[in-house]
Amino acid sequence: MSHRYSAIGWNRFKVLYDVWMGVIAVAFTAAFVVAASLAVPAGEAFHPVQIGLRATGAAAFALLTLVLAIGPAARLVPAVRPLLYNRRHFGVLVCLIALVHAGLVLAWYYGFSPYNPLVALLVSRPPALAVTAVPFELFGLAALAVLLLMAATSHDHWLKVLTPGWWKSLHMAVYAAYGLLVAHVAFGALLVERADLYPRMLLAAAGALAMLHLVAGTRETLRDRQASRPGAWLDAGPALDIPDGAAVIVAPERGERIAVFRDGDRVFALSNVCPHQNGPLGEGRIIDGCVTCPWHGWQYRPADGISPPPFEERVATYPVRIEAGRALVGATPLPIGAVSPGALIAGASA
Amino acid sequence: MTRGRRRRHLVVWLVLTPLMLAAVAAAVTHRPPLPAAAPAGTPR
Repeated sequence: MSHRYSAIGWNRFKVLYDVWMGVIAVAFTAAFVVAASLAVPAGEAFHPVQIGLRATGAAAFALLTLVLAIGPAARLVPAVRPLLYNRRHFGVLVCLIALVHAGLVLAWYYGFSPYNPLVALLVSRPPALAVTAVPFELFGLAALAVLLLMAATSHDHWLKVLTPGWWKSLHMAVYAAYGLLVAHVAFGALLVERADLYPRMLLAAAGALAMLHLVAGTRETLRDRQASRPGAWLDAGPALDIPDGAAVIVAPERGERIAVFRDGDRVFALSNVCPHQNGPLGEGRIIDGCVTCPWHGWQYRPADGISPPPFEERVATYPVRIEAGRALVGATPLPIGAVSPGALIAGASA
Repeated sequence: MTRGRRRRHLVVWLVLTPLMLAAVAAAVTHRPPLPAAAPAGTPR
């Protein structure tokens, strides 16, 4: 979080993240090139460009699988949460590798066509109703278009212009891109490769990713139901059971979840939705006296929900009271910016 | 994440998962067969 404009707010963590990302991408691509070179069947020959285009295609697919696994994995295993931060750099890297793959494909297969290579790709396959004639190239091209759109808008400038809701909706198109890539690989590489290893790897990657999303999604839906409390005041449980500097999450029957934070001997309640990218504030901690979003570190004062100066972001706060040691939260938010002193926990050591 | 987005997210994967499986299954069942093994003693 910075109040001065900089295209990318670099810090040590981001640099390390990007270095590791690059190492993983290079290591995967190199390992693929070596393995593919060693596995060329006797009597067949592969040009280095062919191996290169497969290696970059496989790397883009594997890394996209990894990027898309971070979100649900972080919901299931809190230790993964730090990987959420800077995830968009990972996405941009995937797009760059996919571009190299597409460039190699166009140069190798369509570079000598009398047409523009892109036009040649689009018109080279006659329409036919057969699994073996599915235009898998178009699936890859469509996925690349989505990745390009996402990479181009992977910046806080576009987040602000589009607003978080629309930006998130746009970036959910990455799931469609992933589905298109699975079809691209299935109707492309799988139909020409005879080794069983390829379908097994594709199934393992896509299957594991789908399972992660389904398990995490189902758990979150159940949590919404379990966290829902009827009435005007929601019971957040014993106030002293809330870990100091952290939160428990409750949900009204309708509307968004509420994060109930304990800061020493006081309890505060704020909206669980960070205005930046709708991150779960209740999974963050109080740092330097401010509720800090676990996704990108945006901060809000617990008493009024306003970011410390010079920032001006605001989240809704809720009234809190303690009854018989239990924290009760009003289901209706206070006016934006209203100061709530929080509820004092009798007998708590600050 | 908002409540609506959590719901949409789950719906997307409930739709996407069978589609992906169907694509892989269709491709796997249409792969070219492995070449028949040569009888023992056939010169290579």
